[in-house]
Amino acid sequence: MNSNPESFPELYAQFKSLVYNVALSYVQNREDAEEISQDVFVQLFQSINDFKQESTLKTWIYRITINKSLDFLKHKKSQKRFFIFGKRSENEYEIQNISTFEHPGILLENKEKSKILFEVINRLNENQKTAFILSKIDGLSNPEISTIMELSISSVESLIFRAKENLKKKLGNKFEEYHKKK
Amino acid sequence: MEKENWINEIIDSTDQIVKVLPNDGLYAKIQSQMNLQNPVETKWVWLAAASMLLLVSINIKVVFNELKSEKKNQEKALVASITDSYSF
Repeated sequence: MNSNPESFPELYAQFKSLVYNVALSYVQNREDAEEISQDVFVQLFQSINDFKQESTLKTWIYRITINKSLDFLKHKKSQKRFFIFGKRSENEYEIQNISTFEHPGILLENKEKSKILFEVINRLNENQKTAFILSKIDGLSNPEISTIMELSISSVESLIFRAKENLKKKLGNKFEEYHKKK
Repeated sequence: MEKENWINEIIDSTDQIVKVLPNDGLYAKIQSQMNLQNPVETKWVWLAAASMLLLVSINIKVVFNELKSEKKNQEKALVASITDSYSF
């Protein structure tokens, strides 16, 4: 976590995968994840001199990516609300398609199941969603998540536990639908 | 039991997830956006501000000198007219 690339191309090469994959887990769309990655790296380029060594570069990049992804989703949600009163656009269909997302990095035999999981993850609140994504999808440890989210380790444990409980509840309802379809 | 297994399978479906890479063209897009947003160097901002200040100061000085010379002319004219009328 303590690497400080000397130049921007190095920084990009080192963190492109981290930024893109975190954004992809949130927005569940490849083009949108690339748009967020672009914004994250431009912000990094502009504010790298403001980076204080209070946290590691990796933690700082995680925070920027998470904030940008959450802002992006909020913006999309507000657009969706606007479209209820206005003319439908292609964007609206993109928002509706969010639940049909197939993550390109998931094993073929798990594609259908993960599609259901991503659909349900969208219904979690921001903190639970972040804790779950960082833990389960990004594979970070609880202390790492607590540093990124600026919460205590016990709070992170509780968030992950509640996220899993909520997911189980929502998946319970999905189970009935899924078996009716079958 | 079947329901519980199904739920756990769904939750664990991302277990062997592989990190994916963004499109190769992304770096070029970032670079072009950075060039667009590249801020003007501070020295140029200061230079422009100093030039503006100099221009405004010169203008004030010119106007002030004009007013001063006009006042002097008016005084001279007044003195001349008084001298004429009393035939000093």
